[in-house]
Amino acid sequence: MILADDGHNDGDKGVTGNSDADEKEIVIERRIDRRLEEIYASDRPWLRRIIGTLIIAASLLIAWMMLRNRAEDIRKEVRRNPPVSIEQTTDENPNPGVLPPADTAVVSAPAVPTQVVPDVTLDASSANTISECTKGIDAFRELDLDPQKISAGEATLESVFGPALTVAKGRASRETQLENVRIRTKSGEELRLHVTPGDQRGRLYHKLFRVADDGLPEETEFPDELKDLKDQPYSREVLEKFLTAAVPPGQPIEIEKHEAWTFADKSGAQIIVSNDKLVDLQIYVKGKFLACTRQTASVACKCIDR
Amino acid sequence: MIRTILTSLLALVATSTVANAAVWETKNQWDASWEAQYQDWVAREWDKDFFFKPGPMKNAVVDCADTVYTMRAYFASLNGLPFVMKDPTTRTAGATVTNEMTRWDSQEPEKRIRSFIRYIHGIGSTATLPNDTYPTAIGRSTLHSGSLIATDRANHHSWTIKLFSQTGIPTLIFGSLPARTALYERNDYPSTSYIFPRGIRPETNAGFRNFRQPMDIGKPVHEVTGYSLEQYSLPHNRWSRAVQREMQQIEETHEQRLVRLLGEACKGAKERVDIVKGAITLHAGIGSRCMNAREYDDQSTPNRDLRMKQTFEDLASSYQEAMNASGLTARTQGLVTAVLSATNGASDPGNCQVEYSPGKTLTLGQVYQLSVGDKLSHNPHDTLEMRWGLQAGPSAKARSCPVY
Repeated sequence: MILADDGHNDGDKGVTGNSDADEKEIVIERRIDRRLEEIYASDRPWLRRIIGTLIIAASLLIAWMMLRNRAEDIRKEVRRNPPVSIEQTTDENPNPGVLPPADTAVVSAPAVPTQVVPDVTLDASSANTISECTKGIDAFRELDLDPQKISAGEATLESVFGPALTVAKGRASRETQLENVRIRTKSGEELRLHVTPGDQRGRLYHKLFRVADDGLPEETEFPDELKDLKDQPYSREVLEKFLTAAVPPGQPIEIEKHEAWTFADKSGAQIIVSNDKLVDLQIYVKGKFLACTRQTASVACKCIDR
Repeated sequence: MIRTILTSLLALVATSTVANAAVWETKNQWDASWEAQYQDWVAREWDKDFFFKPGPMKNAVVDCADTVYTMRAYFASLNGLPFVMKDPTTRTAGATVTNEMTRWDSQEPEKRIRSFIRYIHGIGSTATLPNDTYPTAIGRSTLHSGSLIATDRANHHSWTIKLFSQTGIPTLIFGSLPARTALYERNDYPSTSYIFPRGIRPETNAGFRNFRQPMDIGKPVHEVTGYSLEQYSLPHNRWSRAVQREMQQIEETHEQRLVRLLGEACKGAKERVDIVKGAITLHAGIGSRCMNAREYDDQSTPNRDLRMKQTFEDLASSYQEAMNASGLTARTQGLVTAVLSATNGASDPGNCQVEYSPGKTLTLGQVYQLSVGDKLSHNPHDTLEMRWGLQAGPSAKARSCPVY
């Protein structure tokens, strides 16, 4: 095979040879060509195939890794800064909230948070569901289901249930089951105070979390200025002190509370409140329960037989 | 040259595998078959020595909710099933903690599982269980091995269910305070008033629950498949008996019940020995200093003492029922009578002796009297004799130190 190639190159000689320099150049080119031919023909085709396959595989792997890293970056970004939805927005809320202030078992926010849940109104169908489901229940006599407000699109979960919860406050047992207070610090980091029952008496205690690169919480030490909050039962003082580390001072991103209410007439409610807005509510009355959930642009209420 | 290329490519592949490794690879999905295998695994493998067994969780120190989460997560890790829980620190939609986390990339697979489950222990608690579980209907098809029981906030305790006996009695495996590696086992329903101190109310999230499917995490609980409020309609005064009736395949005889309750009372009293010993050791170690809130809470025993008292009360009322119905063997009658009348009864090898200190023993009857007479002290600043009600308290230190 090498001999055959030589014969072919020799054949080219007469066509291209003119001067000495050209002759030398041609000789060099021939040598290079011959060498390449030797390499190509040497001949280990399996080696060529392996190298080729590896190069293709490496290219695919690198491309796949780049895509995956990009996707992961996007996921992290979404976790860090969730898209504005009905549940979270950066709008300013001038309203201090319509729910009654908390009892001693619950710590209320001393400041109006900057991140709020936007108002969504109840339509007539939801209002009817609420009315039907709570008919005859003493704890919910004070619901504000004013037809004019409803038809004018002014009825919200807070406007409907606020009066009943306010009236019930003194006669209901109310407990915070879980609370999260999120702040942004001077350094731009998000800190979360996670509050749950922590001792055998059911008193609330808190843990501090930062948000790690993967967007998930990571328990962290209290910074120097908040060191004295460590191992303390949760209290209004703890909350106030924690909020001093927020930017702007005293302003949380969100205070989220999960509460259980037990009313004197044996009915009960579970509510999730975010920055003084009701985002989820379940009411347990005799024989049925009412569930209202804040959705993108409305409130969905269901009345279900127990 | 070729060798260099090959080496580089192999290194690249290896790095990419390790650099983004999930805690474990999800190879399967939860379905009826895997749920059945989960129940079978819990019934066979899940016991109070679980954290002493070889494996990634060996020697982990756990409390009650840690135990509950571990039961589900560990089985998922063994079988390439997804484990998903709601990130409890935010209500942001879609914020979940899953086995796909890559935070522990640099660790070996077994270590990653341990790190992940320890992470779950750090963020999970009895208060977060409602996000990840749902209240279930009562019946053998819906309540089974791998289910759990939670109390309301006041007691914030939880138990895993290993299995139900044919007579409808659960074997509970659970952690408690102070957190430790050894778990506890109980063959009985927790008392209704301990699960529901404010009444049998759904808003407390107390009662029997099952883990949610991954796709149900983040949903309102009433939309979760299997959600049921049935258990909250059972009568308060006979709640656990009503559940037992639903769960039983054969009826438990008075004899069986009394033998079981005697065993549970004895076990509870002996477990208390270790807890109190631990408190006395810590007490001696800290000298004149008062325990801080965490130490106090870990070493005090108000809930344990309450549960033991309720077991004794259950024993007494069950004995009364048995006597009214007749049918007890003479031996069981003798054993129960020895406890309830606090007579010695030591001649019967079935009699429970509680060695609360080396060489110092109480009969179960004595413990019964001290327990139902509210003589036991749960204050960890009290002396050993005061903790067992053998001396009047409180101690000088207990008087001067804060009660948490």
